[in-house]
Amino acid sequence: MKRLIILFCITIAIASCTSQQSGDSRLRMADSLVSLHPYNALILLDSLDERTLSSTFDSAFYNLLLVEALHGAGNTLGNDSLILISERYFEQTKDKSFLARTYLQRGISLSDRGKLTKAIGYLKKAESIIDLKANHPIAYILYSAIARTNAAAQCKGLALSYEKRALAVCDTNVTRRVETMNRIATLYGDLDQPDSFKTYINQCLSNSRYTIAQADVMVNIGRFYLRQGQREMALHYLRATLNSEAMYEAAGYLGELFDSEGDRTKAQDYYFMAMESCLPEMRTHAYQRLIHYAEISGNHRLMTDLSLRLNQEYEKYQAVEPAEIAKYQADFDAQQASARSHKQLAKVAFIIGILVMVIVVGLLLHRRKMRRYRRLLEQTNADYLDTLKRHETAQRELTNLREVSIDGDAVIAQKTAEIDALQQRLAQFQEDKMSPTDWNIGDSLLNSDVVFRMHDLAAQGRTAMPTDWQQLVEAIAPQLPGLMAKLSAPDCHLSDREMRVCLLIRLRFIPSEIATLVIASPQVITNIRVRLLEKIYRRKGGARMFDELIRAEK
Amino acid sequence: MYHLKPKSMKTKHLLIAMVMMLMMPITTIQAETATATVSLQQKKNKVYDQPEVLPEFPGGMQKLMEYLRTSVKYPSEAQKKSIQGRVLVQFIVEKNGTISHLEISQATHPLLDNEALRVVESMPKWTPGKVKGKAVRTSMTLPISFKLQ
Repeated sequence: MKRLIILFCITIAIASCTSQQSGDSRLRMADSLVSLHPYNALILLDSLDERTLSSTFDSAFYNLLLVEALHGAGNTLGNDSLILISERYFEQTKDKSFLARTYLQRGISLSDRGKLTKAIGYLKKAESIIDLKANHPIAYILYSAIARTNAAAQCKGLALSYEKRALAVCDTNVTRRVETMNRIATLYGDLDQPDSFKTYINQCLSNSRYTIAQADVMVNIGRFYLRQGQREMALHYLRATLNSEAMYEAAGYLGELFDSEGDRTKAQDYYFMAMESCLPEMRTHAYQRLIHYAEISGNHRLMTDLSLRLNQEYEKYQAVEPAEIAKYQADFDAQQASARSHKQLAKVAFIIGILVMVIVVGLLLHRRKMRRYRRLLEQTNADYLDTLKRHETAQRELTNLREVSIDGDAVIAQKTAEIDALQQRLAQFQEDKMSPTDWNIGDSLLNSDVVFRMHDLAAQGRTAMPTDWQQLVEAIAPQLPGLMAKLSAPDCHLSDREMRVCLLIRLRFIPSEIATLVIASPQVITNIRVRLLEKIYRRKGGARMFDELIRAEK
Repeated sequence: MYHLKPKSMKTKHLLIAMVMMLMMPITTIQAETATATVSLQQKKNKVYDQPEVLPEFPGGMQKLMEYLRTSVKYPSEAQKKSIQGRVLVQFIVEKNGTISHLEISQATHPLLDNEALRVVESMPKWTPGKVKGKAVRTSMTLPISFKLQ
């Protein structure tokens, strides 16, 4: 049951984290088509009656897909009414993935209509929230859109960097690659870097043969030669594209060429075609020149008509300051970088906080455990001391009984039994389970004041003072001279701690007592015993072997 | 056992061989003539991408632009949805200047595509493209822009 609840919670959490999916299969199909086959998606969406969509999400999604398909198929939108519906909805739901797509389309739409400052704002917002790793086709569309908007705003350097990013994420679609490389070449041409221009144009030429972008590449070469002043080459390339899809752009440059040569009739003819160009600056230039020609020839009607249309062009495209747009982007990037670093900092702080909490909790738990452990040691030590005392008292009473010997045997037997029981109990405290009779220590030493004081200190969890140790050595020295000689041997070089451990083991102090008296854990005491075995007896073995050997010393 | 063939049989075989030898060059000539006829036909029907002289709309490019501006009727549905676009229509200008083999080489929206096809289809005869002074069939691509004012 508990597992089921956890599983349910995880499912809910995952579901709440992932983007919402449309319940309409036609929308899902259009979504899968839109980035690679926008025209097919457009036909599918056109056949769909918007009123049949069941939810607000589906309506917003439908509008987004429709705008994506329209833009993808090469259309532009006269206003933002479609995308605004999606924008409002996704801003409310705060679904980042859809919101990024919406901002991207709004940016493209604004850019197409010449509202470059606003367009850059939307495109940068899309860039800041889009998950680019998971959205390669969208990444290409986004970078291309930012590049084209920058190019239109005369921010050529920025445009170039974004076109290169677009090329890096571009899929294997040859037309897309050629179009992008051609735009990069154009920018290099504008930035007066002919070598880079040629490099990219050559790459275009080796790929463009069967693509629709071939004409654009040819026009670009013609334009390059025109700027270089190579008339014949320019003429060759530009004329070759006059019956192609890039005819209006070619005508614009041919108009310039003949205009510069004073051939007014030809220039005028080409400028009339250039009015249909998709390049705003080319259209404007064509209008200006045609108005000039109409003025010279005294055709006032044509002049008025052209002036009106030129005004419409100016109205469509708001004037932009390249430096302002570049600054806006630099500021936006800096703001984003700072927000990212703040976010990262917050993440690091959170992780550090968690670590500190874990350490504190760990320390508290360890402290609690140690306290409990110490209490256990002290309890054991106290039990041992109590048993030792009772044993000592019982022995003394037995001796007294034997001396007085009034009622004789029954009481003595009872006392003897009691002593036996106590000895068995004392043996239980020892690792080797030996009874005090086999301890190989005289009663006077075992029951001496200093030894009992040491037991007492261990039972209280206190360590022994240097004076206690001194008295202990003084008590042992006359009774166990062999032991003292062994420990004081010049080749042993025992430390105070090692010496104390030896004495305590010899006097049958239990490991918990030794640990308390020398302030170390029982594990450390075990390690010391192993080391002492090698130091004193030059042998390798376990701690118990050392105990046996040291306890045999007299 | 080896038998000599009768003399009359030998002569017959010799005659057949001679006729066949005569026939072979005639067949080859016939085949070559047929190939040449086909290739001449193909040459006559060849569609040029880059003729020496490009086909021209009657009155020149200025008139073509005027024609497009006056003939294109913005599809009302597209106008309602504020859809703008540039449709590429590919066609062949025949030797007599008529327009044939129309197709959309870059579709943008079904409504705009259909209108572009209608406009190109109803264009008057062009002056054909020329190679060495002779009229040739020429392939053209015409971008038709749909822009809302």
